[in-house]
Amino acid sequence: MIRLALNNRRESGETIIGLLVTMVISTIIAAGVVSSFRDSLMRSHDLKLVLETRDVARSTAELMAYEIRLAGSGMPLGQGNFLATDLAIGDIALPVLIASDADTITFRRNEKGRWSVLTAILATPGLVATVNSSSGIAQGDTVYISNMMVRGNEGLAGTVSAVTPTTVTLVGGYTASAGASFGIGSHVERVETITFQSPVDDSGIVRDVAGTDVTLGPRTTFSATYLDSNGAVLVLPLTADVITNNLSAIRLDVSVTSAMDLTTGGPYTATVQKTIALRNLTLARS
Amino acid sequence: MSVIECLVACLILAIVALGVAIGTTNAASFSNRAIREGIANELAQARLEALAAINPDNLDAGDGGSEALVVDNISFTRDSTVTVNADDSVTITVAVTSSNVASHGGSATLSTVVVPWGNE
Repeated sequence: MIRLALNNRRESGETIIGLLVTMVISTIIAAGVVSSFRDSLMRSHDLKLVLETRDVARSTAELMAYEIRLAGSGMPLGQGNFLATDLAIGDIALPVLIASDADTITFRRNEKGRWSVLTAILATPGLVATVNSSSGIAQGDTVYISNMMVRGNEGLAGTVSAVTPTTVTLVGGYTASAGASFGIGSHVERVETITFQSPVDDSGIVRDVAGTDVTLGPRTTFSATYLDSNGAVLVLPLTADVITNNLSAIRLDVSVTSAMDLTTGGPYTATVQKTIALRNLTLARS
Repeated sequence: MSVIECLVACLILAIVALGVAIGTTNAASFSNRAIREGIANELAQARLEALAAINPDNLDAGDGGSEALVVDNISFTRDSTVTVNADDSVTITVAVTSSNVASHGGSATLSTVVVPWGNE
């Protein structure tokens, strides 16, 4: 009886010791797992933030590059008597770029790719162009007329003063090739002015077309650098002569700051660089 | 419950915990690798675009070269190669590798061919 009681007491002691050992080891393992899991969660949070921010920077840069790449489209920059390299085309035809700064890019292009066709000859200095349709053209718009498609090499750049369904009246004193006459079938292109503006705060890059603003994304900014055909940086502000004869590409540094802070402290900033060749301009020189 | 049973229980718990730890570590490693690959691609594309924006008539082998870059505290090496071809076109290749690419990933190689302006 006495031996049985002693055995029971010893077994009971072993059980308590075993339980304690199990609890200690389990606690150590659990602490390690929890710590590892917490670190993993923090890392995941930061990685997600970094990936998302870099994605936004990439997308914003692509969006801007897509539009800037088309600068000058719909403008008769390559016509023999209306060359981009001919400064006589004046301010209204200041090729492609109207304003160019580190935080502002204003350029022209036929955004919609639409054009009308002359249905009667327009001889300069005439003001009224008769067209098949003036749809999409409004007072104040810049239009370019080109007779390249009817075997001509003349161009005209002017501002619209009035519109009827089949006529477009120009403001007098427009710029055109000397003695130009535009035959039936000549193209009339509405060329819009697009501006990208980098903000001074975190409100985001603004894209403006004819007074209609849209923000590309919050906390986005850009810095523009203008390059010649050797890749050398052009000094700001760009003159009409430099734009006409030297400007070949625009380098964008698009930055985005994350909405939330990293677990290590502070927001994350991603910067993506893109160089956009202005082919409509450079091809007009060749 | 004997001490041996306790130790076996602990061993099973440890194996499970180890599995979880390895899983989370691998997940973090894959995400980290994705970031490195993404940055390497961006760096390669940026240099390729910069070289492609130069008039090919003005490009030669001297425009290539190697440069060290640091993005998000990760070191990268960017090697650019410019080869003028017999037909005056220019082949541009940009290779980017991170400092410990073998273990952490982070490499990208992009190539293109540009022709002299006016001959397109």
